[in-house]
Amino acid sequence: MRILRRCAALAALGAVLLATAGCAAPAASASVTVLCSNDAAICSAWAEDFAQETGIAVTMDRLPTSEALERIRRGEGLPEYDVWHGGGSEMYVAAAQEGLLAPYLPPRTEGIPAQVRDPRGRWTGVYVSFLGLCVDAGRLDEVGAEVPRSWEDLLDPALAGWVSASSPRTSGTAYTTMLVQRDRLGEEEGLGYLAQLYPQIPQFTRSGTAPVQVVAEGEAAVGISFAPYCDAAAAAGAPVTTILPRDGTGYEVGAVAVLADAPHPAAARRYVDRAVSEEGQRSGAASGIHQVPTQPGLPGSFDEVRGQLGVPVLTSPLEERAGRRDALLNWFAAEVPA
Amino acid sequence: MTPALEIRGAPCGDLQVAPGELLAVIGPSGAGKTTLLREIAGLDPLPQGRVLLHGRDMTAVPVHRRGVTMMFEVPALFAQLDVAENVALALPAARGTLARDQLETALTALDLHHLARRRPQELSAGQRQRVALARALVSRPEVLLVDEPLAHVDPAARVALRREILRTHRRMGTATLYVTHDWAEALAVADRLAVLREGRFVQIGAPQEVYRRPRDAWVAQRIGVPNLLPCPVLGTAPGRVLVRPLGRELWVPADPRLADGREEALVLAHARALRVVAGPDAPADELDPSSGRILGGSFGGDHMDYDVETAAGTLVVRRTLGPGEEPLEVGTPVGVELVADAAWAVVRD
Amino acid sequence: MRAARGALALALLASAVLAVGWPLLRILAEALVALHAGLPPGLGRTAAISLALSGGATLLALLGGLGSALTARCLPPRTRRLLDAALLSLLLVPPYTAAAAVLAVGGRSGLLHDLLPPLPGAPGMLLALTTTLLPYPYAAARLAWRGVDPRLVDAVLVHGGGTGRVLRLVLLPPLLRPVAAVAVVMLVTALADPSVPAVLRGRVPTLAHTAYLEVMAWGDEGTAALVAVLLALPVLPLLLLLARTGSPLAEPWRGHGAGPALALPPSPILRTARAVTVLVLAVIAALLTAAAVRSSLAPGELLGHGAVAALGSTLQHALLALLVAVPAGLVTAGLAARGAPRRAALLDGLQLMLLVLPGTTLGLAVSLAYRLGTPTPVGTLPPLVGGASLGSGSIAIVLVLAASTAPLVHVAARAGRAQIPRGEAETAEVLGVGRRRRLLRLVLPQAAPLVAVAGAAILVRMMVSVTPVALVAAPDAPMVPALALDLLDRAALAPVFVLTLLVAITIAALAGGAAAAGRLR
Repeated sequence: MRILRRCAALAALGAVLLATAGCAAPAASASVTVLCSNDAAICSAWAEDFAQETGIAVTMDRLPTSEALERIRRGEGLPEYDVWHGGGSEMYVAAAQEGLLAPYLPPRTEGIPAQVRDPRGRWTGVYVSFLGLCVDAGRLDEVGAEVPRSWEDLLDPALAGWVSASSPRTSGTAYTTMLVQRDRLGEEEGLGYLAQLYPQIPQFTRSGTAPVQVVAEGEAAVGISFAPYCDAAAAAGAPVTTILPRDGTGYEVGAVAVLADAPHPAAARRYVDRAVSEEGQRSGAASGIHQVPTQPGLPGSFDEVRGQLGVPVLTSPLEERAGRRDALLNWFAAEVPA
Repeated sequence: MTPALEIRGAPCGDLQVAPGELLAVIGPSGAGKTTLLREIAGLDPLPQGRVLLHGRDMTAVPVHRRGVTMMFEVPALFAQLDVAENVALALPAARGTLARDQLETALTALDLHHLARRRPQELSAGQRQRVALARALVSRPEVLLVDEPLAHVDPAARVALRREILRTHRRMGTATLYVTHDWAEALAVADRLAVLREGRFVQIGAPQEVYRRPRDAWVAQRIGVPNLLPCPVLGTAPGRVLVRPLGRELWVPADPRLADGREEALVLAHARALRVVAGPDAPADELDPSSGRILGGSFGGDHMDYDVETAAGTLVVRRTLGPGEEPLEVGTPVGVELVADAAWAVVRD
Repeated sequence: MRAARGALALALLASAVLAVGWPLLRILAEALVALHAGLPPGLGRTAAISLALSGGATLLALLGGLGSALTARCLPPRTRRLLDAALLSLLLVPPYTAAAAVLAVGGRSGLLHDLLPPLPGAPGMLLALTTTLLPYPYAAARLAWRGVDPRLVDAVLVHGGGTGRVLRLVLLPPLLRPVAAVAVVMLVTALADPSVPAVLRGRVPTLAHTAYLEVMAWGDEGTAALVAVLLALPVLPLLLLLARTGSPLAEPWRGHGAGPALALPPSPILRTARAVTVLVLAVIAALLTAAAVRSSLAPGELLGHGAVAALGSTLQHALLALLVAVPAGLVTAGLAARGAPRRAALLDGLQLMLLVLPGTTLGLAVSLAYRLGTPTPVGTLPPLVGGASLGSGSIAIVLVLAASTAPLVHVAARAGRAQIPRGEAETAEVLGVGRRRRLLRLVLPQAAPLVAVAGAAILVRMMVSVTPVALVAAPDAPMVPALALDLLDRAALAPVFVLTLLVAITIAALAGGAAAAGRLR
C-alpha cells in the first residue's frame, strides 16, 4: 500500500511539473495551433494580437519554411497544426498540390493582388518581402571590396568568404535566391551562376534571416536575405544597409493557410481571417520588421511599392516555382558540400 | 681510508660509514630516520650540508645517478613483472651476459631461483622482501640504504631475513645504513649505532658502548635501562663519580661531562647491575634505603627479573636462578645492591 | 507486497526498454533498408572527413590531457588543484560554446583574426572538439594516478631508473585500460557531435551535421538513420572492453587523499609535458579571453533572448527526467545486484550500451520514431516530438534526458554497492541495523564522493550535453541547447557565453547545495 501511495505522490508531482513546464495538452475548445515560418518577433506579435482580440489561445511552433513543409508532409494522417503562417508561397503551392491545405477564402481577400494569392483560396499572401543584399560598407572597405550592387558583383574574388547566405535545405529564403537566378539567367546559366556564388559563402546558415545578423556581428560583409530584416537591423543600430540588386530581385510572398486536417478548423479560419485583414497585416510591423503588406489599403503596400523599386522584379509562375523544388534541392545536395 | 658515505654539515650532524661497515640508525618513529635515508639517496633534497660518496660530493646529483641503492620498508615490487624481471630492473639495460650473470648470482644468493617466474602477489611478505634485497644488491652497490626491512615481515621469517641481509652485506662489502626502530634488531646487526632524536644524532658508537654507556637518560630509556636513580654527586675522580644510591657510597663509572662540578647525576642500572639480597643477609631494618619487598617477577628461563619496591621506587632486578632454585615469593623482604662497575652515571638534565 | 513491488518494477522497466528500444530498433531497420538501396553519394567521403576530424581531435586531446595530468602529478597539491580547476571546468563547457569561443578567437571578427589562419572549417572544428575533449583523458589519468604508490616511483629511482622508466613501470600500467575506454568515448563524442559543425563547419561536411540536416530539413530519413547507426558503431569495441573487464567506474572512488607531488628527475618527457600544459592553458586562456571580450562589447543584450526562460525550462525538464531516471537506474541496479550473474550481466550490458550510445544516435532515433504518430496495439500514440506535439515536445525531451542519465544512476548505484567493504556490511546486518540506517550511516558516507561525482555527471549530461535535446526540441523550444544553436546560427556569440556561464553557475550551485545538504546530514 505504501508503495502505491508513494507512486501516486510521484505521479501527482510529475503532473504538476508537467503543467508548470507549459506542457499541458492543449485544451480542445478555444485554441489554435499555428506553425509559423517567420521571424520569432513577428510570430509572437501575430499570436499575441490574435489571442488578445479573440480570446482564443494560440500555440505557436516556429520552423523555417522548408522544415515546416517537411513537418506538415510527414504529419499527414495525424495533424498537429491548424494554420501555417508565414514563409514563401512556393512551399504553400507545393503543399496545396499535395492536398495538404484546405480551401478557404477569408472575407478581406478581394483587394489582394491576384498574383499573391491562390485562385482556389488554399492560401493567401499576407506580406511580401523583396530579396536584397544586406551589406556592411565599413567592413567591405576593410576587406578591400566594392559595395556589391548586383548579383554578378557578389562573384568578386575579394568577397570570397565574406558572403553569408542560408541553406536551401532549411530555408525558403535560399530557395527564393535560387529561383531569382533561374528567372534572371535561365535554367542552365542560373545553375552556373549558383555554382560560382556558393563557393563565396564560408558557411550556410540554417535560418533565412540569420545572414543579416551574421553581417551585423561582423562575421560576414554581405548577407543575402529579405530586405525588411536588414532594414530592421539597420534601424536597431547595426551598420548595415539594404541594396536591391540592379540585375533584378525576386520576392517572397508570405502566405497563410488553413491546413487540410486542422484539428480546430473553426478557430483556424478565424485566425486566417485576421491574418489576412489590414489589422492582422499591421501586427507584424510592431516587431520593427516592416514587411510589405498585401492589402492595397495599407501604406507602402505591395501594389504601391512594386513599381517604385528601381530594379527589375523577376518572377515566374508559382506552380512552376513550387514544382522545381525537389530538382533544385537535389542539385544543391549533390553539388554543394555542407 | 675514505669513508664510503659521509654526511657533512647537515642538520642531523656529521656521519661517516666505512666501506663494509653496517651502521644502524636507530630512533623512535618521527625521529627522521627515513627522511635521512631519502636525503642520502637523493629522493628528497638535503636541507643543508653535503652528501659525499667515496669522497665525491653527490649533493647535486639526481637520485638515479648517485649509485646508491635503497631497500624500503615495503618491497615496492612491480606487480606486472615477475621476480627475475623485478630484480633485473636494477641492472643497466645493455649489459648482456654480464648482467645475466649478475642476475643469476643475485637470485642464487638469495635462494630465489625457484621463484624467478612468479609474480610478487604470489609470494609471502618475507619472500617479497628477499626479492627487494636481491634487487637492491644485484647491481653491486657500494652504498646500501635499508629502511626498516623487517617491519612488515612475520616474526618467524624475520630472523631468517635479518641473517640474509647481514650475510649479503658482509659478502658484498657494501657500506650499509640500516634504519630501524627496534633496539634489539639494531644491537644485533650493527657494527656501529647512530641514535637519532628529533632529527639529530645524539650518540654514535659501537653497540656495546651505546648499550653500556648511553649518553643520557633518553637513550637509556630507549635502550631499555629500567632503573634510573637520581643521586647527588659527592665527589669526582677521573672517569668516576662518588654517589650514594640505595644508601651506600660507591664510585660509579661516569660520563666525563660529570667531571665539571655538576651536583646531580643519574645512575643508570640495567637489571643485572642490581643484586637481590635475600634471606638472612637481607637488611633487617625497614628504614634501610636498600631494603625492599618483592612485588612480582617475570620468568626468563635461567633468570628472574623481579620488581622490587624500595624507598627509591620500584626497581627491576635480575637474579640468576641456580639449578633447582625456586623464585622468591611475592612479599618477600629483600635488600637491593648496586654493582658499581656495571652501572653508569650520566648528567641529569 | 514484495511481489507487487517486483511486478511494478518490472512493468516500469519493460515500458522503459520499449520506449527507448523501439526507436533504436527502428532506425537500425531503416538504416539497413537504406544501405540496401546503396550508400548515398558523398557519404563515404563525409564519413572519412568526420573520422579524420574526430580521430585527430581525440589524439590531440589525449596528448594535451595526459601531458597536463603528468605535469599536475608532479606539482604540489595546491598548484595541482589550480590546474585541475582549469581543465576540469571545461566539462561544464558545451561543445557549441567551445566552438563559439573558437569563432570569437579566430572568426572574421575574432580577437586574433589577423594573427591566425582562418579557423572556421576543419582547423576550427579540430580546436573546438579538442578543447571539449581535453578534460576526459585528464580526469582519467588523474583518477588512475591517485592510487599510484609513490614508493614504487622511489624504487625505480634508487635503482637507477629515470623518468622514462618511472612512466613505463609505474604510471603507464594503471592508465592503459581507462585511457583506452576514454579514447573510444572521446572518438564517439567527437564523431557524433552535431553542434561544433553547426557553428564552425565552414564548408566541411560531417556525419553528425549531415544527419541533423537530413532529419530536420529537406532530406532523407533513411540517410539520417544510416548515419545515426554509423555513429554508434565505434562504441562496439568499447562495449566489448567493458563487458570483458567490468566497469572501470568502480575502482577510482576508493579514498585516496591528494598524494604528494611526484619528484621525477628532469627529462625531455617532463619538459614536453610541461610545454603541452602551457600550450593547453594558453589555448584555454585565449578562448576565455575572447569570450569575455566579446561578451563585454554588448553587455546590454546579454540576458535577453529568453536565456533565463530557457534555463528554467531546462531545469524543469531535467527534474522531470530525474524522476524517471533515478528510479529506473536504482531498479535495474537493484535487480542486477540481487539476480543471477547472467541477469546482472544483461542489465549492466543494457545500461552500459545506453551510457556509451552517442547522443546523436539516441536523439535521431527518438526524433524519427516519435515525430509522427506511433502505432500501438491500443491505438495510435500522438506525435511526441516538436513544439506542437503532445506536451509541447516535453515528453520526448524528458525521454532522451532520462535515457541518457538512467545508466549513470545505474552505474553509480552498482559502484556504490561495491564500495562497502563486505565485512562492514555483514557486521551491520549481524548487529541488526535497519536498511535505512545502513543506507544513511554506512553506504552514503562511504559512497559520498561517488554520489557527488555521479550527481554532477548527471547534471552535466542533462544541462550541458547538447545532442539528443537539440535533435528532439523545436528551434524555439525554451531549452538551453536549442536556444544556443539558434543564437549561434546568427553568429550571436555573446549571449551564448552568458548562457553557458549561467548554466555553469546553476550546476555549481546545485552541486554545492547538494554537497552542503549532505554534510549537514
